[in-house]
Amino acid sequence: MARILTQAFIGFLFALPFTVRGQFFDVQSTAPNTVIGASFLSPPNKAGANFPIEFLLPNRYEITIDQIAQTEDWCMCAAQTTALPGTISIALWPDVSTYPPRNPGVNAPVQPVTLNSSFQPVFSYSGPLFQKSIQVYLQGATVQTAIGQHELSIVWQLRKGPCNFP
Amino acid sequence: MKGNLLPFLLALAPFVQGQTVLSETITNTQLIFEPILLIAVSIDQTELPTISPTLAGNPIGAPSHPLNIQLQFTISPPEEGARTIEVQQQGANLPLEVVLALQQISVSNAVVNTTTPNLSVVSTPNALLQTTSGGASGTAPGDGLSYQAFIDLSSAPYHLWSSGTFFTNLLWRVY
Repeated sequence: MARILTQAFIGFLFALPFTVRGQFFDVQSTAPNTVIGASFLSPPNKAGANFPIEFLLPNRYEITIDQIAQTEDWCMCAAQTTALPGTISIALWPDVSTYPPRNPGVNAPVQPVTLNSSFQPVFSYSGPLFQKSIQVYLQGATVQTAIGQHELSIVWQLRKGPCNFP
Repeated sequence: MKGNLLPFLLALAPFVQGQTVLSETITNTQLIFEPILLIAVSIDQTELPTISPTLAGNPIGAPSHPLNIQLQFTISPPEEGARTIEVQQQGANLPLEVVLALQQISVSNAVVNTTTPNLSVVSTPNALLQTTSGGASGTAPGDGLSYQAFIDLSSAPYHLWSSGTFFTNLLWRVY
């Protein structure tokens, strides 16, 4: 056991030079809870209606990056660490209305990127950025599966260099 | 030997991913799905005239023109047990001898577990649908449960009737 811990610590020391901690990187949700009810049905509040295949949630994520060189290219990636019921998934797409605007294929994915447990590129830019808004979409929800309360945990990584959007 | 590889694999991880990780953070939010219980009923605007007897001694006939009723619903699954849609008469001035009955014609959506094909609509609630899984019937004109309403005169003591126009309100409820 001690040997494994020692080896893990050595590995951590090896990895440390490549994980620079100088930058300020902050992601905040505009609301701690997202409540989804009949107003999200298509058409809204209509008996017989179901959820659309994909719809925009009212809350957003705001990212702030500081203490980074103006010319430093970076790529922000995200991964979801908690599972949602049924086929429900979360997708992210940079807001087109906040600076810098979304440019699909250049600084953003060509369509909302569906989160899973692997890191995927969400937004790319150079230098500091203040409260860039990221829109949140819910995908694959049905009335039969969209029940209860679920924690949505997302790990955000700031990586050196531009994103490579597929 | 295999154990000695672990630190080196960890050290190589940033290069395998292709990019150096500058920083990392985590957000935690709550996704809350509110229960949805919606029903809508559409009823043809049709009069239900009784058939007057043409021969002395014959009884009054029941309405020959059925009244179409379409029930559509969006129902979240229950936490336990089953969700129920029920119907009852409320504020009616129908003579006691007149019985209003519903006959199920079709069910377009398979999410319902139990339906009651024929039931009398009386002043106490009668269940016409139960579901443990919830679901949405659809919103197209033919979606949902189709019923026809009938006036049942078969057991009425006709000599007690009075002529006139009668009305009834139907209260539909889901819980």
